[in-house]
Amino acid sequence: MRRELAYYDLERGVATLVDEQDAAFVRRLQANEDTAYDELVRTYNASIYHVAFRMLGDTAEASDAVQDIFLKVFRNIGSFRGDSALKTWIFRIGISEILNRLRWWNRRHRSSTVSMDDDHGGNGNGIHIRDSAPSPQQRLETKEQDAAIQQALGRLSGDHRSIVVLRDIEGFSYIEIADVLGISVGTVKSRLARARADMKKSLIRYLSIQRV
Amino acid sequence: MKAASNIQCSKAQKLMSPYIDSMAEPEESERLESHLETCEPCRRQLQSYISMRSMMASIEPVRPPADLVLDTRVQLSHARSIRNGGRFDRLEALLINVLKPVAIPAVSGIAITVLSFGVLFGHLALNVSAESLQSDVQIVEEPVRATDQTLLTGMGNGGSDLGETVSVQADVADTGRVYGITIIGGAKSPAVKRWINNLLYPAQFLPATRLGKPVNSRTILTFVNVRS
Repeated sequence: MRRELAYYDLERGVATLVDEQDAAFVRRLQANEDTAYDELVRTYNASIYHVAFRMLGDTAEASDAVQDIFLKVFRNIGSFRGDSALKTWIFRIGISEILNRLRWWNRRHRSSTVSMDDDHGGNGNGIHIRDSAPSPQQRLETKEQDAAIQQALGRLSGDHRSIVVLRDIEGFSYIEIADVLGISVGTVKSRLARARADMKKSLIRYLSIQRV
Repeated sequence: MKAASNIQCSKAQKLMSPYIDSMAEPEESERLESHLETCEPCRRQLQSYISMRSMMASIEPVRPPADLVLDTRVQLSHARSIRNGGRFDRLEALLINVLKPVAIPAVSGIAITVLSFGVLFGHLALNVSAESLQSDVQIVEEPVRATDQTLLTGMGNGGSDLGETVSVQADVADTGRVYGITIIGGAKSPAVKRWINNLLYPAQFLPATRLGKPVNSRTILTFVNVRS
């Protein structure tokens, strides 16, 4: 059974869960255990990639970001003090790396565009339909909505994009988001409200046909 | 008792985002609900927020490329071997790698990919054991193996050009012969490529087998030049 010790960071209004299994796992990483790094990559590879792709909108950039994020985790694990959950610490590094890449892109006026025909880089790893046998019409609608979401995310600032991706796509709690981004829960609330309002404007056409 | 509906639509709309996440304060929720009772446009706005959240939550995760785990592990192995500066520390780390390869699904879906590590220090230590680390790895009775004897014949010279660490992806046919080589990490100079080609193309591997039948497979070999 997992045991968690909770404490509340008064300054930032953030409750942190310190997981004993996390602590043991971190010790293995800090001891440079080979199997621990295998486990680390297997555990976080997919979710970090998904966040990176949603924020960067490009499969190759997302792959590069994932590799750099794991290297940074490796290089910094020695200084991990356990004052946050390992997951949020890893995503903090991840979001920081991704935002740096976004800034680099923005400085060069590079804009990401999502084509309706774009199957996420054409590597066959694109949109995956939940339904095992979707109709062609459903498939088209799902693809169209996915592209629309990606475009709407692309119009947000990096800060707003990260908060929407973490909350509405990855399902992080407000507390986890606060911990990842190093902000208060109150700031998460207000920033998310503004970001969602912008997203809603971009997606309004789809919301009218979306079933609740 | 319900709070009075004394908020404007603009305020109500600001409360909608935390409200749909059950993160609004109780008094805020009461005020919003009270406002919604009399404001049809705001009810529609709230419906839009709920629809959008549902739409966002329903998009499927984009799966990472099949070789991303492997590439990341190779990068980490590089970093770890570089960190292990001392000769004996490095040797120890590499021997651990030799004994604990990583198995991940191959892109083709007909075999597994095996990450193995060879150590160059006058002789080559190559050994791979099957260890499925992911539940969706296909069952493989025996992964690809390289015998010391065949590779040792090619180790005579050229190794000093290796530099720090070189990771090579070798595609091994069901006949046990290498039909593709890609240097995926470390020095990529023509001399190193030549040396790797001369070493691996003539080599005879024991092919991987699946249900007793030889299959095409891929192995990752990391060569580390340990100076004496």
